Amino acid sequence: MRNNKKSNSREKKRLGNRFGIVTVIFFVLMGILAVRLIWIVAFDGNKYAKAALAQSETSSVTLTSKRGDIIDRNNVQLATSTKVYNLILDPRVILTNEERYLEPTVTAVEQCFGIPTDELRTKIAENPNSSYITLTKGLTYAEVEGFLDMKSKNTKINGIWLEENFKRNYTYGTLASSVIGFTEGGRGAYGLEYMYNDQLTGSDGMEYSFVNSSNVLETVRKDAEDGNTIKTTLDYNIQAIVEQEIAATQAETKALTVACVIQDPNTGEILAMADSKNFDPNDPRNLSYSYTPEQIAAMSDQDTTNALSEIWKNFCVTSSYEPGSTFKPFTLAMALEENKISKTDEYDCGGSQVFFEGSPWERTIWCYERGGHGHMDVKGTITNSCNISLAAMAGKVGVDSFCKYQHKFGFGEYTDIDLPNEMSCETLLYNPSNMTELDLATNGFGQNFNLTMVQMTTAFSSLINGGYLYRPYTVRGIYNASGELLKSFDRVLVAQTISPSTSDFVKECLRSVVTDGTGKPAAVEGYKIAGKTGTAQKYDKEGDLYVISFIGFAPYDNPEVVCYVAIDEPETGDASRYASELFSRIMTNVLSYMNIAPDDLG
Amino acid sequence: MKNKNNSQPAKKKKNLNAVSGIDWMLVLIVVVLLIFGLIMLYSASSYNSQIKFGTSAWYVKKQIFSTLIGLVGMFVIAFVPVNFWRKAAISLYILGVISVLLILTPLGGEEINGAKRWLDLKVISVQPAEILKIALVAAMAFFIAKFIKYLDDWRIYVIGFSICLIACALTLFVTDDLGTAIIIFAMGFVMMLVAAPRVLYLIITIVVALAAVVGVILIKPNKLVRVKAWMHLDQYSDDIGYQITQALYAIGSGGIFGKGLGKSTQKMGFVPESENDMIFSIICEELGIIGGIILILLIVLLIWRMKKIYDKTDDIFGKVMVAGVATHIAMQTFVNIGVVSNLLPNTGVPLPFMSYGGTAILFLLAEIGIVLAVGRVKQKDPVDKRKEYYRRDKERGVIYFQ
Repeated sequence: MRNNKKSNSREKKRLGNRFGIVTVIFFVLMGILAVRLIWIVAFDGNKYAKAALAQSETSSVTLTSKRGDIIDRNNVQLATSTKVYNLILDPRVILTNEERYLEPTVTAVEQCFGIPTDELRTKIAENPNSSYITLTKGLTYAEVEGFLDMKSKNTKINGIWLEENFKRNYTYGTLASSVIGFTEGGRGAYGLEYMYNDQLTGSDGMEYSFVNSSNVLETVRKDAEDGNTIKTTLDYNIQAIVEQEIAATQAETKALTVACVIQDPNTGEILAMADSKNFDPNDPRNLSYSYTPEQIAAMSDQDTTNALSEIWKNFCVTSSYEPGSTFKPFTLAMALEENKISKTDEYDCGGSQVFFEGSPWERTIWCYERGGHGHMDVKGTITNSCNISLAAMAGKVGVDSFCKYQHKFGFGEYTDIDLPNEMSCETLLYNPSNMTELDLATNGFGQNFNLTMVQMTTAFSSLINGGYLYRPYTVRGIYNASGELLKSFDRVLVAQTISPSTSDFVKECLRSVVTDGTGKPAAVEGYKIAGKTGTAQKYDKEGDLYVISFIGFAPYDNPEVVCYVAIDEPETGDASRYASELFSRIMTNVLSYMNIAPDDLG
Repeated sequence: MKNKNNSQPAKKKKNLNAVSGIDWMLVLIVVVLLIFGLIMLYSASSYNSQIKFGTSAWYVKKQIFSTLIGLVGMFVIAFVPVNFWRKAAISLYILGVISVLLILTPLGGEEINGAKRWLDLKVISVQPAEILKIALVAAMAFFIAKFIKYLDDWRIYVIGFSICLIACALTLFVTDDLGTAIIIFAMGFVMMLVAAPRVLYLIITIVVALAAVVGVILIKPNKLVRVKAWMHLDQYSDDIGYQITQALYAIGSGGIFGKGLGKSTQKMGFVPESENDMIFSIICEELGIIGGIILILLIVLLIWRMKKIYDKTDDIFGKVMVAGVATHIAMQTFVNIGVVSNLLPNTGVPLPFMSYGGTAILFLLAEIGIVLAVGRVKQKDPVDKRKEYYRRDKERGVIYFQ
């Protein structure tokens, strides 16, 4: 018993001592760990931190997506994006192992891109912590091919790479520039590029690396999704004809702007739309396409800014003016539609009419023929473009109906065309509460209110197609990068403006304008051209300034093309002839290009 | 005089320890470690969790669940009499062995990195190695306490040590897990060390064990290459040494004070298993080596507290169990951080209280529960205490009138 007790205490003593030693050993081991951590940070901390930074910045790469193309109705490419390469230098990666990378890398860059090694060494030495120095931009594949090959064969070339990018390329330069617009910083800034930016922009992809559960470095790639292609309603050939003829007229008349819209009256599609204030979307800040070098040299900064916004804007959609006599057929149509006149009515024109006689605000309106047109039938009022008769017709229609019809035709309303910055001119129209007898009379022959070319073209189409007002549009379809149709756009009927019988009578009147009236120079050989001239005085500016225009269509029986040309402030005065001639030249070429059978003139 | 004698028991502190016998200091250290662990696990796992499961909290939610169950288990076990483990030791050990062997049956879970280490019980999956560790603690302690007087007989010593060796062999050959085998060996060895009288036996054991480890490394090519990668890390930094290289990058970029909680970049796909074996590297990246050393100090504190409990108890069985648990935590911490800091070759063992793993945290808390239970019993028997007072009074010359 005693022995047992003794041995028991010995064992307990042993148990006590031994675990004390073990605990001390454990504490020493923990101390070693702490020392090891301090060691790592003190001696290798910087090296490891750098390496960690270097890898985390190369582990994900953005794959740039391609912006969609813009093509014309026959798939002619108007805008596309081509791949270019930027050469990027990463001094930080090179300096992680200077001995290994520096020499081979700078040598290769000099050899392939002609950048002197000294210059590269200075750049690397001056920016040791930078990871992104752009050396050259916009290299083509042919220019970088050799370098890519060299880099893939030599792992010592490091810290230099090519960043893929896309450059917007407008195939035909200035062609349709005011419709297409341009891009800035990869985003659409004007025109279709702006309007359809969401469709044209793709989504960038990513390539990143991570380590899977088996400790293997795995690369995951999310491909870039290229943008969609926009198919416009424009026809490259018609657009080219229009721009060529506009330029000729601009040179001849020294006008501020010459513009033209060609529309399919049966759908509302815009086939061509151009103004003489052009620019090259490849180089949108270059004014030389619209101004002479002397003009550019004389510009102040503010002038330059104004000039740029002038060339970038689309005159046909964003500029308004008083239409003049081209509005007269609308007044006629309203009066007929409301049964205020009959086709057999007759008018007498004395050349002038006095309003508010004897009052302080007495005013006289005049006809173009100051002596008066004399006696004529309803058709004759249009043929002769008689202001007095049309003022009388407007008076019969009355303020309420006149204003209602203006809006029905889409004047003072957005046409909803798919182009940016459209003007509605709503505030530039009278409404029944503020329209006087005189205003009604002047509005009746197209003065004293504003409209845009696209409003006029669209409304005129309804005038001659039986009364169907279609929404004007410039994009027919959207296709994805592999060519599948995603969305197509069709004609949209906005309103029935007039009855088919009124439409027929208006067409008759318009035909007589070209055969017997003011529009003779607009004739095109072989076709029954019909249309209306317009000479509008600009009252908002000092001096004798005019907007001369012509709007017409062909063929006569089943109209396929409506063409509206306008010449803003020609130096040559009010000669309406220039507009008619421009119309004639454009239509001669367009009708023959479109293979439209000549009318039976017999 | 009589009054004075009576006043002695009344002076006894009426603190919580006295009521429940629970070592609340140990509980506090464990809770601090658990909270620290959960915060760091959330930070280290959020990126991987987001990528794999689409939510940043998938891992930490599961871990919180296991931790709460584990805490309940810990307190339940703390109030289970220590004698229960004495009685259950053999059955528990057999259960542990069987659970490891079950891996070889179709119940064995998915093969990860060429080794099966899981039991897939459909509802939950468990890591049998964790069961084996707690079973080993009970079984070895039971044997040593029972045969402590005969351990100088080499046959008894060998029989006792074979309890540990069987467990080592199972983890090595069934689960191909050298790291865990080494931990289990260390646990068995320390438990034997505190009690066995013959130092020579212990020296022979350690020499044989070292030879065995070298042998295994030379035989198994997948172990050998890890040793090579450890010695020449820069040459293997793209493949087998990738994990450690990335861990060192993380520690290096954390510096002294770290990048700040949640600001690790290495956890974003660079450090593999950042929520598991490599979590310490993310702790260092975010909290700096200051954070890492605080964690090491918490472990030191925990072991010191266990040493206190070890010293307090008179029960040999309890003492040996506490030694086993303390060794488990200390060695696993040392091996894990040693691997992460490239002090040791890569052997995948998780970091106690920090790494993601339900089974590991459950059984770790169960082991803490055993230590707490041992700590409760160690209160000296009141009769002993009266004798103690009597002895002290006698020394002071207090005269008792019978």
